[in-house]
This record gives sequence, C-alpha cells and structure tokens, in this order.
Amino acid sequence: MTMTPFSIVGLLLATGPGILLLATLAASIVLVWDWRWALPGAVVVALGLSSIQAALHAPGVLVTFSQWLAVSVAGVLLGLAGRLHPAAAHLHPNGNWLTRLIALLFVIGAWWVLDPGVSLPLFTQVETDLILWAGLCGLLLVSLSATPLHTGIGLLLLTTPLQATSAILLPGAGLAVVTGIAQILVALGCAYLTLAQQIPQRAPRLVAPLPAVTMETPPLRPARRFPSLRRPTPAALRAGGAESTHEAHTPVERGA
Amino acid sequence: MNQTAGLPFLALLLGFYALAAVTSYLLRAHRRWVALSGAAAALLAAAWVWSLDLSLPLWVLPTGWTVDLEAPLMLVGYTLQLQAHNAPVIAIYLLITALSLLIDTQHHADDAFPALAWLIAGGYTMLALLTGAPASPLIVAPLLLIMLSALGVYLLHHEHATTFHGALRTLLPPVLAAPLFLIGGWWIEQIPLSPQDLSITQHAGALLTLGVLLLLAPFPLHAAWPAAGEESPPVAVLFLSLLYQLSVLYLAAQIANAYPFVHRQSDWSLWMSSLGLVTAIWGGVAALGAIHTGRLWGYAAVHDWGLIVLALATPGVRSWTLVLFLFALRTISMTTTVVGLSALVRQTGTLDMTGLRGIGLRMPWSSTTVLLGGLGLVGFPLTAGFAGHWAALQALAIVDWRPAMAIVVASVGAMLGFVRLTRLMFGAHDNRILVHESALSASVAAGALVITLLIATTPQMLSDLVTRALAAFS
Repeated sequence: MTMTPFSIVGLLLATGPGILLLATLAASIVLVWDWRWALPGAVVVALGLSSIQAALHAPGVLVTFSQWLAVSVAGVLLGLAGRLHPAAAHLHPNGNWLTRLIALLFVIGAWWVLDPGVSLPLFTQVETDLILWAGLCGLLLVSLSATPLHTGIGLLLLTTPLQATSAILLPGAGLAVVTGIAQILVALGCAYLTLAQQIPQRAPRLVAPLPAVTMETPPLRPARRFPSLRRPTPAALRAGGAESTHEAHTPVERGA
Repeated sequence: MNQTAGLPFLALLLGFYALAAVTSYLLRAHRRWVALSGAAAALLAAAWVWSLDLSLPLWVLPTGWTVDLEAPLMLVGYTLQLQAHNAPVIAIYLLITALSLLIDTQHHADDAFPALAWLIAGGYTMLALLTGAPASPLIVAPLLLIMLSALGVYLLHHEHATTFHGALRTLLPPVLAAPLFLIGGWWIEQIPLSPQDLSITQHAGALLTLGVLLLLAPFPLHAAWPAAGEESPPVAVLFLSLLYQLSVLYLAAQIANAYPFVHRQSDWSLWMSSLGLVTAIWGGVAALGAIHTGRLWGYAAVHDWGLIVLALATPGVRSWTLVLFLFALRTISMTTTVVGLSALVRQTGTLDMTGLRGIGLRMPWSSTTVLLGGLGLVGFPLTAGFAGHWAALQALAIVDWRPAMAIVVASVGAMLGFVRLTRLMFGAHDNRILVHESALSASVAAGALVITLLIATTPQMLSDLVTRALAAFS
C-alpha cells in the first residue's frame, strides 16, 4: 500500500490513543459549546476520520483529498460567518454545561444499556463506534442548539457517517464528491442564516437623568465660641449681627 | 442506451429552467411581472409535459430540426431521461411551481423568490429524471435531497424572522437518511453474490425502510414544517413542502417497485402504520394548542401527512390511488390556505392569533380561505379534504376501527383550533384594525374558494389526474 500524507496522519490516529483523542474531542464539543472550540473540533474530527479511512481502506488520494477539501471549505464558511456575526452564536441559550453533560451521559448510558450492536460492513467495530459516536455528538449538538451556527457545526459532524460510507462502501460511484458538495451546500446555508440572524433589540434601559440644577450646599456651621457675657452694643447690633448675638443655648433653639 | 435521433428534449427543458431562473433574477426589480410570467410559463410547461405522448418520441419542428423526447442526457456518469413514469411527476412539480409563483404575484414573499423557485424546481425535476448513476439512482437520491433542502433554506429565510428552526430542521431528515440508503445500497450490491441468503435482503430492506421513514419525517421528525409555518413566508412553505413530499413519495414508490423485498421482508407496514397514526394524532392534538395561525396550519398539514404515511403501509395500486388522491386534495387545501395567509400577513404583518382579532370583519374573503383551506387539511365536511379523509378512514376502519376513531378524535382537536381562530377573526374587537381587502386580493381569494368548493362537492374531477399520476407510482 502506498503511503500518502493522509494515510500517514491516519496511521497515527488509528491507534488506541488516537481514537480516544477523537472521541474525547467530539464529546468536548458538546460540553464546551463555544463555537470557537466546537468548529475546529468538528473539522478535526471529520478530517481525522477521513485520514483513518485513508489509512485502513485506501479509498484513493483523490477521494480523501475531496473529503478534506469539502470539510475545510465547510469549516471556513461557518468560521467566517461566526467571525463576522459573533453575536448570532450567543443569541439563544442552550443550557449550561451540566445539562449538556447529563444529556451526553444519557446518550452514553442508553447506548450501553440498549447495545444495538450496529456494525457497518467493511468497517472495523472500533471505526464503526467512532463514526457513530461522532454522528451522535453531532445529533446532540443539533438537538440542543437553536442557532444556525451551532446547527451547522452539528450537521458537519452528522455528515461524517455519510462521508465515510459514501467513500468506502460505494467507492466506484464517485459519491464522495457528491457528499462533499452536499456538505458545502449545507454549511453555506447555515452560514447564510447565521449572517442573516437578527439580534432582537432590547428595550432601552430607563436611566434617570442627571440633575440639571445642583442642590445648594448647606451653610457652613459656625465655629462654636464661648458665649459672650458682654451686652452687645447698638453699633454691633446694626453691623450685624443678630446671628452673632443670638446664640442657641437650648435644644429647642438649636432645632429652630 | 437509446441512440439520440435529434436535439434532446431534456436539454431544452433544463435550458428552460436555467433561463427562467437567470431571467427572474436579473429582472427581480419587476417582481410582479416576473412572477406572473413565470407562473404562466410554468403552467404552460406543465400542461405540455402532462400531454406529451412518448409513443411518438420524435418531433419535427417547422425549421426542420428534430427533437428527441426520450434522448438521454449524460452528465458526469449520471443519466437523465424522460420516461412515461416520470413525466407526470415533472408536470406536477411544474404545476406546484406555477401555483406558488401565482400567489407570489399578488403577495410578494421575496425579491429572489421566482429565481430560487425555478432553481429548486429544476433540481427536483432532475431528481425525477435521474434514471442512471454509477450507483443505483434510488440510493443516490437522498444525497440530492440534502442539496435541494440546503437550497430551500434561502427561500424559507424571512427578513424579519429572529429564529430559523423550521429552515434548519428541514435539513435533518435527508442528512439522517442518506447513510442508511448508502449502506442499504451496499447490501443490495451483495444480493447477486449470494441470492439464496435471505439475511442480505433483510438487511437491505430494513435499512431502506428506515431511510424512507426518515425522509417521510413522521412524528417526532415532523417539527420542521409547523415551525416554518410560523417563521417563513407561507408561499415558500407551500412550495418547498409540496415538492419535497412529492419527491419522497415518488422515491418510496420507486423503491417499493424496484425492490419488492423491502416491504415484504421488513417491518415496513408496521412502521408506516404506527408512525403515520402517531403523526396524525399528534398533528390534531398540537393544532388544538397552537396560538399562531401559521403553526396551526402547519399542524393541520402534519395531521393530513400522517394519514398519507398511514396509507403507505401496504404499497399497492389501491393504496397508491388513495395516497395520490390525498396528496392532490392536500395541494388544493394548502394552496387555498396560503392565498389567505399571504393576504393576512401582508396587511397585518403578523399571523399571531391575537394580532388577527377582528380581521375577519375587515378581510372576510382572505379569512374564509384560511379557514376553509385549513379545515380541508383535517377533513372537515364540505371542504376539499373531506372526500380523501373519508375514504382513508373507511379503508382503515375496515381493518381496525380503533385507529380510525383515534384519527377522527385528533381531527376534532384540530377543528377546535380552527373554531378558536374563527371566533378570534370574526368576533367583536375593541381595537380598530385599519386594514382593508383590496378588490384583487378578494377576487383571488374568491377564486380559490370556488375551486375548493368545486373539488369538495365533485371530487371525481380529480380522477383523471390521479389515474394518470398512478402510472408513475405503481
């Protein structure tokens, strides 16, 4: 078997740690949720699966190249939409990480208990489990999401089983190219909806205006002095000062 | 492979679609004339394709050129060919396109609607014409449905919408179904290698059954169209849902004919009957609680669709006749509803039920079309859908009366939803609504009502159409 760059990457990933890495990455997309993590994660999972198939089934360099091209273009389209309109990714609440963890654990538990024994022809059981796991994570992303961007990322993951089966099960039909076109069109549609997403305008906050007229500052309290025992002279009274002469000595007078 | 004896007719047909799409886009500023001329062209083309006589495959034009009707068109390994079984389907696609463009003439959905409608109708036509591919065309079809659903997103987008649940959910059924078709296709390729092995046909049958079921989008995958009814322009929902559903029915018929083991060696009947029943019941129950007119219409359509899925349980000439009859009545009822809904949304800007309080007094014709069309979808007496629902319920009650009774109860739920809408629309209101129904709008609505009542009273008018279409499906 001739080695291609794709199959070299695939040989690295088609090991226990490599498969665990891809499976964990797919699960982390659901848990972390942020599109800046989810989108590269989904692209890496899709490209990783394509590389593993290139290593194990040798579908042809052109087929794998078309898969890489389609996934990359879809990723770039969604990434550009997210970059240009980041507010659209956070418009609808999608539950907190605990809810998503419970949903993920529920899926794992249901799969474990039901054990449907799904096996794809020509694929090894580990490959099958990884493909189905990626698809389930995509389905979970689509189910929990209300935004076009996350739905687009979920659909990208959800098309990985389609990508795998079209290239390996029906190799001579050229369906890998048709699948790639479908992936790009789906991503384009989701990117368009992301950009078209209108952010609902919030009701303006009612802020009390600043007072136009400043309040008068209270007059400085006069310094306490000892009461004068001298009787004020008529001249002093004229000059001024009733205040100086009228000193408060009782609480009633002070309050007044 | 047929030898081409002249200019391939398909090249002309697909060129016509492409030309119509490009012209509609370039002249989109004159939207009303573009939509009107598009509707006329689609109607003429539908009548032309419907009346084609393929026993005389060669036309000699006055210029001396020869047009070969059956000449195949080869595109990168895919063969398109007009045949007796796909010509009626293409004619119905064109008819649906004509109806949608006609409604768009009066009630404008989007500037690019005519161009996109031509593009998508061309895609569905190519899907119907697909007779040869590197793999079986039936296996490839869901992949093409993904592409067409992705193009439909642009039509379902509404400039004022803040959510796109409907548009996004339409993508899910074909994406889920396509891998099942491909794996089923692999098993079918193994059949000649060991024809005695029944497990191979069982595997293939189970996968294709599940794939068709996902494409039919019964409960719980039904949510796309009711959500789109709330968020998207009604005419876009009408156009896309009818094209998609007709293509899936045609695909199911082709699979049932090409691979008889699919329904013999799988649980086809069980799945179709049980999920069809649940879909019909859920459509009725959900319609009872709907507070948006578009969503109420969507759930009534889900109820009707459940009945069609139920009728698919035993593929055969009789059941296909019923399916096609129900689909024809569905087309009439949905079109009637959309005529009214488009007028209401144009005048009031909303289809929320509280916003339509008292609208029936100002726009009586459009309001009546909404009610009569919607009630037709749930089989109310004296509406277009009644004859089909009655026939389906009779056929079902002969086998078992309990599911038939459950469907009747569910349809009563949907009817109560429309009764609530009627009370709101025609009830007294405090807020004076400053809208009025234009003469053109009222006359279009009256025309739709006349057609609906005509079909309701004389449903045998559709028998020729159903008989001709049956040739494509059985």
